[in-house]
Amino acid sequence: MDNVQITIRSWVESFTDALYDRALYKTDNEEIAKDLVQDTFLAAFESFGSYEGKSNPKTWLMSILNHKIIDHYRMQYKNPIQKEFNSDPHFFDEQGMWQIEQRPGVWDCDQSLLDNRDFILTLKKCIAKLPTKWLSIVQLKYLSEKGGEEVCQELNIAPTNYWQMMRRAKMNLRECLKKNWFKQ
Amino acid sequence: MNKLMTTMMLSCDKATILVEKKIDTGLTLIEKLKLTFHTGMCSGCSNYQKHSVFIHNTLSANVNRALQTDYFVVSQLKTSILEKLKLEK
Repeated sequence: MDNVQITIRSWVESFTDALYDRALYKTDNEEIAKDLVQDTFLAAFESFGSYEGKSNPKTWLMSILNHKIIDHYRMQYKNPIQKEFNSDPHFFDEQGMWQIEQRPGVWDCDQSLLDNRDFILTLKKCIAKLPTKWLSIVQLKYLSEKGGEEVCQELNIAPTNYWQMMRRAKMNLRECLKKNWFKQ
Repeated sequence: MNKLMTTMMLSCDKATILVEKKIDTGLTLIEKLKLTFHTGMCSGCSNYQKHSVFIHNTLSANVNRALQTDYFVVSQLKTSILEKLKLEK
């Protein structure tokens, strides 16, 4: 093994867990997280020449991983997988007023729900059911802790469009929570 | 007065988008007035706003903090990466 190989090998040993943690945290999907970490090391190996030891190796690897994660969201957004559910109901009538059966009712949603594991689990299941386009936006915003402005930049959409899509995503999540948690 | 009423009127469609804008970047003074005026009269949008903020807060409160690294998965992952890079012993 040459020096590069020895270095990369030691990096795999030392940093895989931290990279995987980050990837899992941001994608919430084991298989995707594994692929992203693997791709990160492949990219690091190929572009080792450009590393030059200027920064801490972990920082360098994390920055490669972050790019991979953004690319993943971008791909997911551009090539949405069709999911079965989601005939998107019409929420509003022609005047833009709530359809009676869609009008939001009162939920008993106090702060204690934030610490309720079952509720969090229900919410995560609802997120997983979102159509991919809106899923990308919600993940990018909340799992990556991006501001709305950054989400717009990453996905190349206008703010107005972003708020509209966020509303669509929230409408979907509301419907799902209504059925599966608030039982209305 | 009539003219004022018309300019202040929002549809629920527009109002719910303003709710998302409010959560994201905040509203201009006019928008703020319009939305407050609307949610004061419309229970549907007022509830939507509560739910939307609630979902926002829940998601922001690090839903994934509960996730813990599975060390078995990590060790398998290391092996497979080393194989891919042809760096196995």
